[in-house]
Amino acid sequence: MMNQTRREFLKSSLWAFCGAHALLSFLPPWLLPTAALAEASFDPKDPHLREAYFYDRLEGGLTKCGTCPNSCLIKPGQRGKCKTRVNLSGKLYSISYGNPCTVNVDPVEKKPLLHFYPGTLAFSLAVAGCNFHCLNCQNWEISQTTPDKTQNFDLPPDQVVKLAKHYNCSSIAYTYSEATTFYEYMVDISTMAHKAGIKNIYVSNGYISPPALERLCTVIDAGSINLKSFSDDIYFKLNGGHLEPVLNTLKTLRRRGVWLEIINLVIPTYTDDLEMIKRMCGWIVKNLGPDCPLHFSRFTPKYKLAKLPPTPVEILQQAREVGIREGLHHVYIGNVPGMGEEVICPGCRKVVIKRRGYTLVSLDLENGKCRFCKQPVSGRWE
Amino acid sequence: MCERMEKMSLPKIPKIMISLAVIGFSSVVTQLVLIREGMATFGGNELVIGLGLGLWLLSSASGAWLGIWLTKRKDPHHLLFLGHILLATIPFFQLAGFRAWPLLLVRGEIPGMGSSAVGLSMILMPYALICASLIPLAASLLPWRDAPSAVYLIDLGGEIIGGLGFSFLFVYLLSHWGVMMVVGLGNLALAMLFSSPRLRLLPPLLATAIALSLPLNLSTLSWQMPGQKILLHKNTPFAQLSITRSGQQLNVLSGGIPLFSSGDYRTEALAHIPLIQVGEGARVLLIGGGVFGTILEILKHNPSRIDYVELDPVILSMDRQIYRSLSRPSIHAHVGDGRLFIKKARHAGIRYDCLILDLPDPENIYLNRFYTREFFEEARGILTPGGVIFFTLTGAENYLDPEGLALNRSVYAALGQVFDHILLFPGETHYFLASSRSFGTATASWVGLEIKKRLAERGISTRWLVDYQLPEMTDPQRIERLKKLVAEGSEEAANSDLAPHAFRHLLNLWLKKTGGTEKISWLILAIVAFVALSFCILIAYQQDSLLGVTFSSGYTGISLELSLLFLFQTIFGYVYLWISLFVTLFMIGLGSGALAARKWKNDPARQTFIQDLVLFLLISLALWLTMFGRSLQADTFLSIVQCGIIPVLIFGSALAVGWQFVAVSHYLNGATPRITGQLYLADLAGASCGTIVTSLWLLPRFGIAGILISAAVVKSASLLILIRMRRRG
Repeated sequence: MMNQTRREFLKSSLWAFCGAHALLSFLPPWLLPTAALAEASFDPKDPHLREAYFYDRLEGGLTKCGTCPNSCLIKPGQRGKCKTRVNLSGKLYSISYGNPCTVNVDPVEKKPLLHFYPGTLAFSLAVAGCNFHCLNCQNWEISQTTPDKTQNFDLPPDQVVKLAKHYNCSSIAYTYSEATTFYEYMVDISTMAHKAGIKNIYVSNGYISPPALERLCTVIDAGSINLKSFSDDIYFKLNGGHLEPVLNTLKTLRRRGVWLEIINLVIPTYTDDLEMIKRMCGWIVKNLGPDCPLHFSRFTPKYKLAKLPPTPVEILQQAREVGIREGLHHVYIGNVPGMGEEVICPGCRKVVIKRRGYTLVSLDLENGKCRFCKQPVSGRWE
Repeated sequence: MCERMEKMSLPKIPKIMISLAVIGFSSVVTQLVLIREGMATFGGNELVIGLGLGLWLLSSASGAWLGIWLTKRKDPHHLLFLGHILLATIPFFQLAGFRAWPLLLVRGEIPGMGSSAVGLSMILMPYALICASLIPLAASLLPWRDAPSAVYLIDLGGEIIGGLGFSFLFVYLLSHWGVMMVVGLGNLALAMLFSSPRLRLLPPLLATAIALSLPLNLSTLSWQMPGQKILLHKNTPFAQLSITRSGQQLNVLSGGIPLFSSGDYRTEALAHIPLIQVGEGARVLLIGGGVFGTILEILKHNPSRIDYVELDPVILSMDRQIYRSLSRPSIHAHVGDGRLFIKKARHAGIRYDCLILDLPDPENIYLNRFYTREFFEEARGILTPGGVIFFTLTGAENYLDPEGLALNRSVYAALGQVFDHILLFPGETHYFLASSRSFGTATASWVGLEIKKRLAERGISTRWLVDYQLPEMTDPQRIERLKKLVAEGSEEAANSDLAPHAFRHLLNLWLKKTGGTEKISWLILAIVAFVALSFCILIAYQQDSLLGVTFSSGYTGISLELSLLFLFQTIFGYVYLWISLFVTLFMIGLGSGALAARKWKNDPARQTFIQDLVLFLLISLALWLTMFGRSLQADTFLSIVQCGIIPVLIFGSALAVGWQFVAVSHYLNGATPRITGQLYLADLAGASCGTIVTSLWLLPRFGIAGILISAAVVKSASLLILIRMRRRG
């Protein structure tokens, strides 16, 4: 063998490089990774776009979104963290208007709301998008994407109300993904729904800016809010958010008289710490009152958090006991069949609402009071 | 004194040969252990396995190159000593590294492909690098003219013993930590042979440390199972299984992924939905999962017989600690491949009223076989005229991801080609119920409501199915929407053995969930392009096309071996014994080819050309077998394929690769370590490319035929090079 001269070596290397490049260039597109997504072009006249209700216009065409505490600074042509708000020539638009990707009729108990018009149906819808990135999201298919990538229904607000009536739904629930990301759509539907005598349920992670929430409170009737943990560190690690804004949301909903039920997912090695649960329950009692229902939900492996086993049932029972000891009147266990779903009168401790799964079995309330001892039971009843 | 020390320190040829054999042994055993650990950390699908194996081979190729440089150093004996010390000790850190990796991520999170690539590279590469670098180093101490071929043979011998030892002994008797202790002590013994007097105490000290390290096994394992107390951890040929306790709850994990937890009632749907369709006293065939509660639910319908097939016997043994469901007389447990069981049952004329698949999704090529048209045809053959088949696939409560949808469509299309009547139930999990018998005017919604009624008639209560699951499963809107999407949606190619579309979609879904769809494609192309480019530069620099031929044979050899193993699995099922024998047969073939080339040294150029031609012909034969062999039904033909054709192809391809390796070394006419190093580099680089491209790209997209066609293309290029060389003289 003879070694080459430097010139020959460089020549050969160049040929090799060109050959590799040519190979890559001529491969069919489906063999290659897709190019970096070109930003979809949006037309402000598109009926599925709506100028955001809460944002500031800044210099240089910048916008600052005011819908949630992320407060994204968005340049023209770009989107916010939730990817459902886009800056078009200095104006901020929501791309989540009238285009839900999923629509169902669910029992209201599934939201889960156990003290809100039991036995009724909720017309439930979601537009794709979320301002969190929870590792254990059970609806990741729609929360971790955006409406321009999903197959959607075309449902303007008035059509939603019509359908809710058609299916005999007492309420409309904004759920599955994160309702805050389709805020404008939710507010407009809620306004029309109220006029039609239909209630509105806000199912959310509670990550919404105060001004947006204040406005929302004028048109919603119930909030099913996920308080994911009582630790800012865990909030950031597991969900990509912060605790403080969620606590503020809870207080505001309470203050504004919106019916509120809180859901806490008990995740092994994260949110199963009974001391933390105790602090959380203490906070709820102090700031929201002992009548605020709290649901401890059993974790099952999902999405990216698939290497942890489900929550042991006794941990949920212990959490429930902690909640009751801290003074909460209504503490439930979710995702465990036949456990802790009965609504109990805080006065005489008798069961006033009995359910099998999501089906109402018995209701022993009269005008919102226990039939046995006449103690008022907090909630929204007929 | 100096003379005596010189005599003591100068290793004799047998020591070098033993050293090479131990290097080969250590390499294979450690590779197997670390790849299995990697699977437990990063996932057990073909992407991770292919990436791990490919990175190992790539590192080995780099190590071979490093070895050439090492031979120029002054004290090769000392380097060998150090090498064996490192081979003895590094694996423990690697094991700990894999187990500690989850601590770097969010606890409980499945790592994505990016994290897997980084983790596998960092953890696997050092050992492979060091191991491969010792080969040219040891070869430099052999005074033989044809040292490269001798080294190849001895190393191969060690690998064969290592492979057999792990597959038939270690995996059953020892934990991974225990296996590494055996390998470690063996290497330390070798180190003693090369040690200088100054360092003579080091090997025994390290041996003592290794012997005392066993308790670290469980403590490092616990990093992978946070918040749980490990009750049992067992190695099986198929997985690493653990039973843990969190509070009062029992968990069973496979490779760190929860398989089962007590208090899980989701097995109710698996049993009650199909059993309601058939009368009491039915004959039931259950494949997989039975000990986790499904059998108990099936028993509520008073079947006359349950045949339960489970691949891994250790799972059956876990029944004692879970529900003790196998003790009933009507249950007959069988160890083996479920599809093979069905084939045999069909030939024996056995029929079932109900076939339930309690298996994971088609997340690897083995599981994909249970969701193909060919499987459904076999299944139909063992069902009674009114019999039903029932299985699950990943679903979504509210919206199906496009890959999830494509997955469901491809399986539905396959099912629809065999069964005329299919009902599909929506939910977080999708349930498929199919039969040759009509369900009448029943819709899924109606059937769901009937379930509630008939369960009540049979006096069967459920904790989850009726009150929580059925309302969603029987929601007419959800059912209608799902039917439109899956059954009436756009055309999706039916999942089949040769075209594993379901597997591909599930891999894409996994990539999406873990955040790696585009990254993995870039990674594949980057690695392959880098290796190929590096090799082109090397060949150009050396003006040595023969290295290209060796590279192509490395690629072809591994591609052919993997294709034949996958083909065997497709036709005959996953039979651990046979798979292990075939892998061993491949290595024996390599050795036999090398031996033959050493014997017949005349005209190495012609030998190289002939072996290339032989490989090309073998690829063609394998392709023919792939296209037509699966449809063979007659026992005689199947036996010929199982015991004759496939083993001959495996042995033949290995023989050609091994023969050619040695023939090329003769052609290059040198015994220098440089040549040994270059040949190893070429062979391993080719094998690395073959592994990565096959596992990550070709198999999911194009199936087995695609792998063979790619091998044919690569081998054609090699043949052209050789023809051109022969013409130039």
